[in-house]
Amino acid sequence: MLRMIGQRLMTTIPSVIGVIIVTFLLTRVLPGDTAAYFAGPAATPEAIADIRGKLGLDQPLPVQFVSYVSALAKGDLGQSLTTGQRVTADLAQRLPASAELTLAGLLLAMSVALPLGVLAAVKQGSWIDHLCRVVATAGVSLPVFFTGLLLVYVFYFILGWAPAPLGRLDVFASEPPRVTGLLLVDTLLVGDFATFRSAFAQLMLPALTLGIFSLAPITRMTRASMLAVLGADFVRTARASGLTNGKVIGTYAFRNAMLPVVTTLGMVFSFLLGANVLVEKVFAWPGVGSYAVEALIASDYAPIQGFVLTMAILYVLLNLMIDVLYGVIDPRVRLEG
Amino acid sequence: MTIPFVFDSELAIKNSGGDPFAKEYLKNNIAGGGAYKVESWKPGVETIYVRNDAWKSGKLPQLRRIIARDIASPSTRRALMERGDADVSYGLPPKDFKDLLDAGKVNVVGVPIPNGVWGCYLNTQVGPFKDVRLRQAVAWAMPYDKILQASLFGRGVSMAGGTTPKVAWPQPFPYTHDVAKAKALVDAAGGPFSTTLYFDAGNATVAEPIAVLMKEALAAIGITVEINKVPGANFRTEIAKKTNPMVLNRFAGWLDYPDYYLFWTMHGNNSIFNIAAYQNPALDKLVDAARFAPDKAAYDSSVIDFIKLINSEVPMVPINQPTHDVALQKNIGGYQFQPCREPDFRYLTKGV
Repeated sequence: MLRMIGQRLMTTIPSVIGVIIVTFLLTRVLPGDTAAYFAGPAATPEAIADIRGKLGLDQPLPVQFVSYVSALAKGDLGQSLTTGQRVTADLAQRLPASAELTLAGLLLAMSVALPLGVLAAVKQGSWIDHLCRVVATAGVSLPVFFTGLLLVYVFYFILGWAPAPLGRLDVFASEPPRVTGLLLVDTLLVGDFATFRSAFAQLMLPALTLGIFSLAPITRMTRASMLAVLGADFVRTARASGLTNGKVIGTYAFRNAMLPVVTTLGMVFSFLLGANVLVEKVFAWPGVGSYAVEALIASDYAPIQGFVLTMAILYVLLNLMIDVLYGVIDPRVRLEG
Repeated sequence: MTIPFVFDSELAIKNSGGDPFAKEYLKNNIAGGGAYKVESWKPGVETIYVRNDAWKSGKLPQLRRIIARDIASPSTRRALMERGDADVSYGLPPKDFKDLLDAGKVNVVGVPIPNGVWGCYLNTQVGPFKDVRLRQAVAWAMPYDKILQASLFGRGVSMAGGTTPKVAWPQPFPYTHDVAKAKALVDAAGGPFSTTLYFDAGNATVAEPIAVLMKEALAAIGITVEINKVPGANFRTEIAKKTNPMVLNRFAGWLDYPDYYLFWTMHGNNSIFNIAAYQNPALDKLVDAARFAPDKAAYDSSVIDFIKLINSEVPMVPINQPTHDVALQKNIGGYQFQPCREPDFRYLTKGV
């Protein structure tokens, strides 16, 4: 197993190098002049040139690249010009918020999508199959900011059940000591149930918004994959041997249908992590997505590079995790690997 | 920014590690004083202020603790106000302020932004608007009232139909929506023409309706306009080029003096906000005379003279002066704002 992980990690090195080069070049060809932006309105051309020199932007691209990579090797992602903080500190502050939101959304989606997908496949053509189709189509066709605003309008504004969409915690709750950065975990670690409840209540609506969006791919993939497996020879054999319906579907068919579902889950997770900017905006969620977009608007290179690089590394780790999971689900994959 | 700060330089330098400006230290530490202390600061998320009870330089503020949260979505901010979960909110789109005002559940306080105006800058160095007749034609063609309703939902003051020049800025220019006059000027200048109108996409809520209405109005007098929305990061670079024939921009000077405004937007020093690239030694002379006027009479006469000059020269067509609005719960009082248009927490009061 360790050997396999090692081998997998080796193959990711070229893609990480590629990502570093591409993000570096892409941020340089973005329109907008960072120096002009930060020099302010009253700046003379000399002041702009001075700032450009301080930021190292007057150096030729290869020189800039070398200094970027050597800083990177020391774990230094540079400094954000908009927040004035180190990018690593900003990301460390904001990544757990995004991760918590995404995980919660995904768990919520899975708890609905997996049973729904399985049932739809087992009772193909029944009302539940149609329900599955409707839910999936609706979920994927409603844009997240719309679902988010709709949920805020109904559950916060009209009904008053949900707390004010003010980010991760109620204004008067104080943050627990930081261990994982995931508030739900950190509050439980210190046994602060009041804050746990506050964090949980804040998380519900944004997680639901993300959940509704990610429902579709998971449901459809589960259904398709279950259908393929249910038509396979070993399922027929199991049924012929007189095994109960529950055993055939739960133990044999479902486990075999999991492989493509896990792949989809991985894709959905990594997609949501970066793409939930709009949810973050609606719910004032202090995540990495909105951080990256704000940096983009100010043509602030360092946070964008840091964001893309972090996302790339997360992708790599996630893919690795999925590969390992494959082996757990289906031992044949492990043997070939 | 040009707002002056006072730092405790001894404290800052002691902790600076050799940097005479202590830039790194001051990024995350406080070395100053005031009516409020920063209790916590998360960039882009929230700032919490607590009252400095030892403050001696004025009346002690009533509010003990102020939480300023950054909420990106205006719809969310409006919902928070209407539900009563936030006490003060600003920077909503004009339509939301109008709706809140009409609903009457919260107070909306608005004054015309001091020294601020939406204007259409016409490039006086390159392109068709080098011809002053065409600049005047745009001023005559502008549908001022329609724009005020469509872009600001009435939350502003129209800049049409001024009569005698006053010592004030902004003030209405003598133009009104008069298609016949505009058309005659375009014909005299040898029209039709086509041109491009630029604005900052970050201001699209207000600028886009203005641009669309202008396009429609100018088409009627033989000026074809193509609209170009410039992404926020690129807008400064774009206006610094000074080659764009037509730019919509809202400029508001922090100091409320006419000469200050013109110094930044039309003076020969050609600052980045002189988007029209207007160069006129006669105007420079009048503006400089006002800036360094020995007495009020001299100041007033210079201002009146340069207003008259730009009324006929129109390097920029003033469109409307937007209202600086803020929504407040009914129990919040004492609202004042600073020249930077941020509320001053010291004077806020909260009733029960």
